[in-house]
Amino acid sequence: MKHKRKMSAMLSSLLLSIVVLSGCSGSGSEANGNQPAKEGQEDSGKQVTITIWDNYGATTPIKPLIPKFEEEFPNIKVDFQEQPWDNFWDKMAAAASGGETPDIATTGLMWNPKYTVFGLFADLNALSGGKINGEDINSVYSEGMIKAATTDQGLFGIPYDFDSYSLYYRSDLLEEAGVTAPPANWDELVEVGKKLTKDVDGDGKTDQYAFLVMPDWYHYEPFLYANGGKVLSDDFKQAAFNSPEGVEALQFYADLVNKHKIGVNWTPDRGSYVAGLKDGTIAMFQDGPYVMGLIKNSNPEQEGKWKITDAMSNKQYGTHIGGTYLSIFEKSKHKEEAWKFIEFLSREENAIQIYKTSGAAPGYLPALESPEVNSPDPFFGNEVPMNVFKAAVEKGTPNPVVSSWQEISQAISDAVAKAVMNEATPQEALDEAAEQVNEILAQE
Amino acid sequence: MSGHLTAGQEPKLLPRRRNILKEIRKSKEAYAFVLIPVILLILFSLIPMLYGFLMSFTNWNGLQPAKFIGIENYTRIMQSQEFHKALRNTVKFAVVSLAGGMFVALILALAIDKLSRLQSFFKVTYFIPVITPMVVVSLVWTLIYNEKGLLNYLIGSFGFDAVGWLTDKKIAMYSIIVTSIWQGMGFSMIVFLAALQKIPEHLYEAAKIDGAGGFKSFLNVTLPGLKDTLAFLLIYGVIGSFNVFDQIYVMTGGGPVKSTETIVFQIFTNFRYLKLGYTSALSYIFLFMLLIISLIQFKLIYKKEE
Repeated sequence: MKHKRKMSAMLSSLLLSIVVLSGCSGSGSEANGNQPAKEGQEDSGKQVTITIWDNYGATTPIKPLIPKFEEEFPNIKVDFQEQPWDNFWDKMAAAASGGETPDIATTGLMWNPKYTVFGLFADLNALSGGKINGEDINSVYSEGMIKAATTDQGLFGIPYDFDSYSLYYRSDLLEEAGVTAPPANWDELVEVGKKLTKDVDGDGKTDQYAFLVMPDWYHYEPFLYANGGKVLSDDFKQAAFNSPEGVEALQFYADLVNKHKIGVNWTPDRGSYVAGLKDGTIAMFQDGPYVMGLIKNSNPEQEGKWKITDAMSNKQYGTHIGGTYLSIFEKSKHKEEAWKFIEFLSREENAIQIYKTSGAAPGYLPALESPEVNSPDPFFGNEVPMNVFKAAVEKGTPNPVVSSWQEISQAISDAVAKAVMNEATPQEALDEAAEQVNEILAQE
Repeated sequence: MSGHLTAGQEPKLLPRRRNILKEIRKSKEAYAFVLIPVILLILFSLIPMLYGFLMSFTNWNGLQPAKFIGIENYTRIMQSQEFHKALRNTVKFAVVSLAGGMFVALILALAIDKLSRLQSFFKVTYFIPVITPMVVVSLVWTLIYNEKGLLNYLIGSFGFDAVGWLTDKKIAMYSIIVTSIWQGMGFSMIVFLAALQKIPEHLYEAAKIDGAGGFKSFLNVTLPGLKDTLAFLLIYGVIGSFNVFDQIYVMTGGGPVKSTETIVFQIFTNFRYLKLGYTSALSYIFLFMLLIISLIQFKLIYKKEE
C-alpha cells in the first residue's frame, strides 16, 4: 500500500511537471507571437516585415522586384522565401494546421477552394474595396479568372499569371509534310496527324509523333470542353464528365494513341516532355503560355520553327483557365502592407516582368497590350503568340470551384490514364471516376 | 534467443519488481536523466497518439473545429475500394520483398561465407546501399528504370522492346520491390553471415561422417542454426516493409493508376487533402493490423522456442 501511494504520488508529480512544462512553452510562444503585432499597431510608420512564399522557382519575377518595392515603401521589408513546387501544398497543409502561415503566397486553383472554405485566405474584395491600383478589379482581369477564384467566402486571390491552352505546332515540320494550315478541329488533327507521324531514322519504330497525349485531366479537359462536355453539373453537386460528350472526347483522346497511332502517350518515365519537343518527337501539343518560356530557354536552336494558334475545336471551341494567384492569409498581421505589395506587383510595368522574366502570361490583362509583350516574336515565326492566349483566357472555361477539386481532378486523371493505356474503355473508366467523384461531392 | 533469456530469468523477476522504488532511490541521478526522454515521449508521441485517436472520430481538417461523427470514418474506410486495393498492394509488397530479400541475402551470405579472400570487400560492397538514404537509392533506380534508362538499353541490345518498368501497372510494384531488396539485402546478409560463422564446425563434420551431402547438411545443420536469425529478420522486416513509403513517393507517386499505392501512402495522400480525421482513423486501423501481425509472429516464434 505504502509503495503504491508513493508510486501514484510520483506519477502525479510527473504529470504535473508535464502540464507545467507544456504550459510554459505555450504561453512563451504566445508572448513571442504577440509582440511584433503590438508594435505594428502602435506605430504604422515603424518597420514591418511581410513574408512571401513563392513557388515560381528559378525564374521568379517576384524576387527581382523586391528592392524596388522596399525603396518605395521604406517601412515595409519583404522576406522572400522560395518554396519548392513539388511539395508546396504539403508545406502549406503543415503550416496551415500548425498556424504558422506567411503573409502572402503564390497560390493556384487546385487547392485554393479547399483552403478558402477552411478560412485560410483573406477575402480580397473586402480588403481592396474592389479596386486594384485605382482600377476596378473586374475590368482588368479576365472574368473567368476572377470567377474561378470566387467562393461564398469572397475573392481569395488576385490573378498573377494565367494559364489557358492553345495549340503549339512545328510550322517547319508541317510545311515539310505538305500541310498548309494547323488542324482547327479533330478531323483535321487525324488527317494532318497521319502525315506528321513518321519513322525518321528508319529503324521500324515511330520517332516523330503528331501530337502529345498526356495522361492527365488538364490536357484532356480542352477536349472535353471542345466536345460540349462539362466536368461537373452547374450546381457542382454531380459529376458530368461521363456524359456522352465526355466519353466521346476521351475515346478520341485515347484513340490518338491506340487507334490512329498519331499521339505519343507521355508516361512519367520519359521525364519532362520538353525533351520530346527538343529532339523532335513531338510535332504538336496543347498547353499554356508558360511553355513559351520553357521552349525558348531549353531549345534556343528551334527559333522560328514553332507557331501557336487556337486550341482545336470539335463541336465548339473549348479550353480551360488556370493560373497563379497571389493570396493573403487570414492570419496575417500585416494585411494592409501585404495588399500594397500585391498592388505593386500588379502594376503594368511590373506585371510585364512575368512575361520577360519567366515567359508566362501576366494575369493583369492591360499588360498584354504593352509593346513589350504585344510584339512579334521571332521565336514564334514573327507572330504575336500572346494574342492567341489572350483570346483563350477570355473565351475559356474556369474549373469548378469546389473544395475537393484536387481529389476530383485526381480521379479524372486516373480515368484518362486508364483509357489511354487501354486498360478500360472510356465509358468504364469515366463511370468509375464519376462514382468516386459523386461520393466525394456528397461529403462536401 | 530472447525466449531463452526470459525463461531463465523469470524467477528472479518477481522480487525485483517489488524493489523498484528502492532501486530508484539508489540511483536517483540515472532516473532523473531517464525522466527527460520519458517526458519527451509523452509530449511528442503518446499525447499526439491519443489526440489522433480522438480525432479519428471527427471530421477534423486541421483548420476548423472538429465535429464528432462517431465511427463514420472507420465504416467509410472499411467500405472503401481504395483502402482494399492499398491493403492488397501493401501485403504484396511485404510478402514478396521479405521472402525475396531473405532468399537473396541468404544466398549471398552462403557464397561470401565460403570465400577465404576478399570477404570484407564483398561485405562492405553489399552493405553500402544499406547506409545510402532510400531517397537517393530510389532516384538512382528511377533513372535505371527510365524509358531510355540503363535497363531498357540493356534489354534493347538483346533485341527486346522497351518495358515501362515504372509505368506498366503490372510491373511497377515489382520494380519497386527489386529496388527495396537491393537496398536492404546487405543488412540481412551481414546478420546471416554472423549466424553462419557461429554454427560450430563439428556439427558439419558429424553430418559428413553420417554421410550427409552438401544440400542435406544445409537442411539439417545450417538452416536449424539460422532459425533465430530468420525469426529476428522476419519480425524486423515485416513492420519495416509494411511502412514502405520513400521509394513509392520518389519512384511512382502511387501510380500508375494507384497500382503502387500502399496504406502509408494513402495516409499521406489523405493528409494532403487535409482529411485529418479520416487520416487518423486510417492510421489506427493500420496500427491495429500491425499489432495483430506482431502478436501472431510473437506467439509462433515463442511457441517454437519452447
